[in-house]
Amino acid sequence: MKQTFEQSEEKMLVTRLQKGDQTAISDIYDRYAEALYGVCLKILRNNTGMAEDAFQEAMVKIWKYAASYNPEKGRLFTWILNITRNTAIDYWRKMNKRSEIQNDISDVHVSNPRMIRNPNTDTMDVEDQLENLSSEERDVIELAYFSGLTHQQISGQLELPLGTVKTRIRRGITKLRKIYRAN
Amino acid sequence: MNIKEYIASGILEAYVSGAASDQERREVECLSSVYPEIQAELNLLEDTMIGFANEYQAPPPPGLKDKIMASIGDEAQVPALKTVTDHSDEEVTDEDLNMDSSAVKRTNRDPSNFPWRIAASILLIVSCGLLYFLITLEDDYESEIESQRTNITTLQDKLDNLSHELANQQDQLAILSSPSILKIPLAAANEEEQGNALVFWDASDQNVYLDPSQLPSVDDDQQYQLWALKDNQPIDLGTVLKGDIGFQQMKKATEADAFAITLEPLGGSEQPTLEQLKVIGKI
Repeated sequence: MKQTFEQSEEKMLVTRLQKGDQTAISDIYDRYAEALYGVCLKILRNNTGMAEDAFQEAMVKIWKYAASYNPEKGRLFTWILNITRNTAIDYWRKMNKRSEIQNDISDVHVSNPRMIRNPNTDTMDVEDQLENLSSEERDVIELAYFSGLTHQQISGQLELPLGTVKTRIRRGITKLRKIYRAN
Repeated sequence: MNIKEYIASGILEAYVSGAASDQERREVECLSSVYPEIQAELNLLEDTMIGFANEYQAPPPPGLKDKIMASIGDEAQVPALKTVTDHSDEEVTDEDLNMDSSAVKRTNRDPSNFPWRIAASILLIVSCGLLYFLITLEDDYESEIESQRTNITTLQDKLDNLSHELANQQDQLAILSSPSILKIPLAAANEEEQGNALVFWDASDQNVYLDPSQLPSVDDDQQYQLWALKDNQPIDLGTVLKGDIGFQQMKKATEADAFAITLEPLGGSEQPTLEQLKVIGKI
């Protein structure tokens, strides 16, 4: 029932957004800002100034291109999240254009992934279960998801066989899937 | 390939994590637009990634929301490509279009682009179909190649056999067509015996050939042996190979009045076992 309610609520939000109702952006902010800003911070290595800029640009894009969102292709939040993630990754790439991407690995892992965590009761149970995701699995997923690296690039950066990278990502996501399905 | 195998291949996990290559990404986007099963699986995985992303939540600084709301206040929304030919949608200003992309502007103003859009849609569907076909093909290739490989091996064997047989036939033909060859039929030595054989003797080079194909088969421990007889003295011309050997070249015979075949113990004998005389023929 909860899922159905969320779905209908999201549907209404999409309708408002696509009709050009700016309060829809306000609602999206209220619902998702912490998750989206957290992703920006993670991608931009806790650089708050850049994370704010990236987040702001992403929200403008979400507003501007709302009409191109197709509910048949997945949830609104997935679309929003991917726009935000791609915008932040672009920011990071532009900033690092001249420096070696080598910094990625150390930087992305220096910051504790759960350093700034919202004490959300919904995710408290998840935290324990997340221990099931090995650090190797988390590393490769983070490099893909937050640094925008492909299998091939991760393999080169971590000096791991391509097959190992693929397996770790796949296994990691399978574990995450169980964790989040259980919740 | 079937859809289940595609889903199980791990490519969707690569896609949602962002690790897929450009080509793989296009492939997933294409196939998920054609196959609802792939789209459904993709949605579940995207939900998983939402859970993952939520792990990194952080409160945005105060005032950011106001900045964002202010920045969208001046921004007009870009109509989706599917609605750009709808001229009732006049909210889009030239300024917006200039800011966005000249491509969008062109598309918006040119009503004749409609057939192009249909063409592009058809092309997309065809591409997806082709892509799926190619993936399926690649998979089927494995088993197809394997069965073709077996076929080729079988045919190669057959060809080898035929080549061998042809070479034999050609040899036989060459021997038989030689003007100096003598053909000596060997008939059953007595009423109890069966079968016959043919000896070809080339007096010019003393070569002897035997066609033993009409002789009855023998036990494993026995073997036929060919003899030339000269003044009633036997001259060993060698044992006859067992099995379906066709034409066989024997030892040379410098002189002979007759040829005979006896059945001997395996490996042959120095002197013929006359009780086992099977076929004989005089020149």
